[in-house]
Amino acid sequence: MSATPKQLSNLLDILDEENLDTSLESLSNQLHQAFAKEDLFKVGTTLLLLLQHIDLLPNNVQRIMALALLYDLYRGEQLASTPFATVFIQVLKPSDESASGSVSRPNFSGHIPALSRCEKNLLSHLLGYGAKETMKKTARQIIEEMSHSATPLVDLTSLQLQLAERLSELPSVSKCGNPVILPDMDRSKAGEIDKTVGRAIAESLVIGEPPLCSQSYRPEFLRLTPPLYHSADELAWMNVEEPSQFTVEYDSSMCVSNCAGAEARRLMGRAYKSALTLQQQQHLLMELDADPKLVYHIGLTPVKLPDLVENNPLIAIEVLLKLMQSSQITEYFSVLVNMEMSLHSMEVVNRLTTTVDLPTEFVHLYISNCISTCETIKDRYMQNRLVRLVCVFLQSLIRNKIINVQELFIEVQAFCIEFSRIREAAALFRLLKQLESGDIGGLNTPPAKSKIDPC
Amino acid sequence: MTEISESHNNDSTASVITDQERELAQNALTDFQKSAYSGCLSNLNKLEALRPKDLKVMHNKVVTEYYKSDLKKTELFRKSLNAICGQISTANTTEAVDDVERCVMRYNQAVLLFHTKQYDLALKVVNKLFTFVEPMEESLAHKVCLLLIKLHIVTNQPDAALSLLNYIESQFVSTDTSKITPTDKENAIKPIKEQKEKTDNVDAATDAFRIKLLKYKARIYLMTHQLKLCKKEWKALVASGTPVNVSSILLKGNLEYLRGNYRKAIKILNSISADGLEYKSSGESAAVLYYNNMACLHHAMGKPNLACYYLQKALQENKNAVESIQVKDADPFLSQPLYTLGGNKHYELMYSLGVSLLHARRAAQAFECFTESAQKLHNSPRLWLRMAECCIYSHKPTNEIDFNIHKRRKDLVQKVVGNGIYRKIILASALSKDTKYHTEGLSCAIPQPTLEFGMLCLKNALFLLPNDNNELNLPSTPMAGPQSVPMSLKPSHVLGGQHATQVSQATALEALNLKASVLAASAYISLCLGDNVVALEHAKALLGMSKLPGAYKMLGNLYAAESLILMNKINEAIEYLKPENIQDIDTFLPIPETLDKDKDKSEEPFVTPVRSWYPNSLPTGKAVLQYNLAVAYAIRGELDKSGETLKQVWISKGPNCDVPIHVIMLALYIELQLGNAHVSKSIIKQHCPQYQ
Repeated sequence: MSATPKQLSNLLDILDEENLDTSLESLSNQLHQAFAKEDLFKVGTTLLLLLQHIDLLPNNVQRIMALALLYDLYRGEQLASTPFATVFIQVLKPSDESASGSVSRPNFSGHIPALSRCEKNLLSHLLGYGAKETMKKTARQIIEEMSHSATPLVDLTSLQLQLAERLSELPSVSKCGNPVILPDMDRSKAGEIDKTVGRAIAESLVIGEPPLCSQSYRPEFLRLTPPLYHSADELAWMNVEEPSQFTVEYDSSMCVSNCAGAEARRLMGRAYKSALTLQQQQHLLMELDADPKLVYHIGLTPVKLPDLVENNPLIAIEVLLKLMQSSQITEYFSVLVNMEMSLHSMEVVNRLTTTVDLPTEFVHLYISNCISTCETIKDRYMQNRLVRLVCVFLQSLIRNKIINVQELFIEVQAFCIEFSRIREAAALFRLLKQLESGDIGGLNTPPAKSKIDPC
Repeated sequence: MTEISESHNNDSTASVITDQERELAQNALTDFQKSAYSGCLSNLNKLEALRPKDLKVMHNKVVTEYYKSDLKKTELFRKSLNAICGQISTANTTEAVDDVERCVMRYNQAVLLFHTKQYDLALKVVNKLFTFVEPMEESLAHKVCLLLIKLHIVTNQPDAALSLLNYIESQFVSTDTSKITPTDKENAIKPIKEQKEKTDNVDAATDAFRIKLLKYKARIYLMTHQLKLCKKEWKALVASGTPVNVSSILLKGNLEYLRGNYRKAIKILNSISADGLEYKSSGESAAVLYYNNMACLHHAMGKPNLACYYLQKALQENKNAVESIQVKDADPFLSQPLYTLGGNKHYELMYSLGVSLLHARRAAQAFECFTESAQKLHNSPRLWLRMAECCIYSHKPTNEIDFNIHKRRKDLVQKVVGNGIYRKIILASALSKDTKYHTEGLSCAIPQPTLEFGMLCLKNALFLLPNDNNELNLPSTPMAGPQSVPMSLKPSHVLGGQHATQVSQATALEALNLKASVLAASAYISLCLGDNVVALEHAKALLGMSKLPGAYKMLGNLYAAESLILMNKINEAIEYLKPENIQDIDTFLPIPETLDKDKDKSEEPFVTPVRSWYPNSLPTGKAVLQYNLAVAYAIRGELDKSGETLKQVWISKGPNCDVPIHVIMLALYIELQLGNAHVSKSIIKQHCPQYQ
């Protein structure tokens, strides 16, 4: 929000040198009457601008008035919490060093107004000694009284502290601004003071959106835009897709009977429920051998495999061997591994291990499964039986070099120790010890690694 | 429901088929093969009367009717098919008990889904079908395999497609003839001579299948940038004696495009005969392909405007082609042949046009194109990133201008006010454009190239980015050609998972590049919008990536530092501004061409970005970092340190290192803050002669 031209002229009217003999207090009253509270900050920045630029307010009297008005702008409020309190501190601070009258440096940047001795005295009086009395005086009185006396020292420490505290709450970024108006006075033409020109210049600085007097330059980060995304094939090349190659198909298997398949299906259906007779088994296997694709048509799914294994392990082995090329074979394997351990499942796995290369993980998983089944089973009789089975199974695997004992050593050894009461477990333990000591006793262990890792 | 249909099924297969029925079926098949659909239908009707519950008869009847309509009444066919074998739903239905008897029906459903671009659903169906691929009749099995690979290609999963392809190859096209020998039941009835002929046919079919697989393999290698392997496949393809056609020419052109031999590729493209493919009969137009690919080549050669020209031609050709088969006021699903339903390339072309326009510095027009293609391609993170890029480049078209001191120095001073003793120099309050919040009351959800909308786009892009998992196991060595399919023993694996194994290096790198771009753009826009906390988050995520191109590393550091300064954490910010934080300013991770060693060294370099990014030299990048360090010091009030740093930046200025105009402004600031007004005035007068 910038000031309107009318507001500026109001303000300049109050500052008129004609008011030389009006008390500062009544001038301040005029100001507060003329401006609403929300406009006071604009008035303050304008006053500050006028004080900063001596060419805009060259008259001594006017400057005294402006200073007093700026001081009294937020009357009734704590000085430390008003926006222009820092200005007063800044003005009075360097006065100790450059009291000799040499032009103090800040004048150049236009940052801090340079004040004459009289003005400084006024400020000291206002800040330090009875502001009320001082305000009662007229501008003329002030000039007469204060122009020549030495500047009294004012203790500003407490005000400074309060201000510092307030400023520390602000981020550094908002404290580092520098005004954009840089005076570039041509001193050779110092005499050419023209009130109307000054007014016009002030107007051009105060009015605008945002007004120049409230703009500031702050050190500016250079923010680079990111590069355009680069992809190896920026634009998509189009190849021939031949959409017409995928079209609707006619089912040519309609009404083509497969009687043989029907019989096989029937037998398989039975095989999930009970053991088939030898004759039935032979018939089924023969049909499966005759047509390599029949195995996919007999309705076997991974879910049904455990039933088949339990009832007809021989059929299960043959079927699995035929399914080795199938994309579903891993699913059959995982079902086999996770099914309840039994003589039959072990038989199936044992046969598979000797016929085809099974994935190592699969065999390991199966062994772990066996061992944990043995450990958890409650029935003592069944336990003994299963442990024996597992031991024999493991021995067979080891002797046939299906598994690499090193990878399962700890697990198997613990198993043997736990069931050392069982003869087969003790035998297995001895076998392990032999392998460990390098006493191969008919077995040459490590070099067979390539065969053991089918993957 | 499935129970019932299964019992139907049992009826149809178990119940004995009479000779009459068999003959009718045989006649119907012969009629169908001769495209005598009316005759076929009458046979099927008779058959239906005899076997009212036979699903296959019903199915074939529907198929024949569909063929009779020239594959135009798609909607009718779809409904009838669904009525016969149940609809495919998106919901994850429990594994319906399907069996091999219904493969043809399922395949037909998948084909419909494929042509109507419902790829995910189609994939689901075909994946299921693939588990029955062994018992399937050979020719159907081939089709299922091809469709499965195709679907993986169109859904941009080259790695999964490749492992599938290798698996299929090992299963179907191995030299072991025992696997190919058909054991069709019908053969038993036919005389031996005919059977032999049939075997020859099947060999021919396998051969055709093998060639198709070869082509797909070449396509996949192109997608994964394994160009040497692709070349090998291409040679195998040529050696197999396939006639040179549009398809193989385009493959070769694509290969040369990716190898960077653009001139050669143009020559190859120009060898295409104009009437190679017709949209009406094949569902694609050679002209569209030609113009699009010409656009690709010109774009890659750094001529985006020419690329735009070709793309507009392609769009026009596409429009003509699509309109040529449109029937006025008719539903395309009842009036257009099946294979033309998915042939419209409008949105893909629009996207490409947008990319070219963006590179041609026409961000606003590019934005329009992307908005249009977003109607169909809204699942692509790239598209959303591109839209956001349009927003960024509309906001700030280039970095370069800030480094052109000669041009920008006039911006140091806003104006001069007054004369004589009233003369005042008004300095600039900021050198970069102020972030203007759009206060016009427009919702930022309305597509406009504004930063606010850009932020929305980036949120979409972030959400759509592929998972991070790939990033972690970036293969250190490029994937070799055929690989073994590892067996996994997870009980609940799906087929896709079983085959999708390694992620190729190209895919992983592309994902990394994309992620870096999205994060950097997000951080940038957040900063511009004053959202410092979010900006810092994105910048940190960017810097946290395992592999990052140098330019993005630098940007991550810059953005993090700036957001920290704005949050008044200057000490932390300074850590990010150390010059050693940047080593290079590459803008992307290149795909290493270790596989293409035999490439002639004389050929032009592989890939360069079409529009290079500024700053383009490492010293300039360092100067930016150092300048910003000086800013950080200045804001903290350490004017001496700032001045010292700034001096170093100024000294580094040289032919290989530009410095931004901001350096002068900061020098001015420091002098003013120190109270040296005369120094600052002389700086102004030196750089802005117009204000002397």
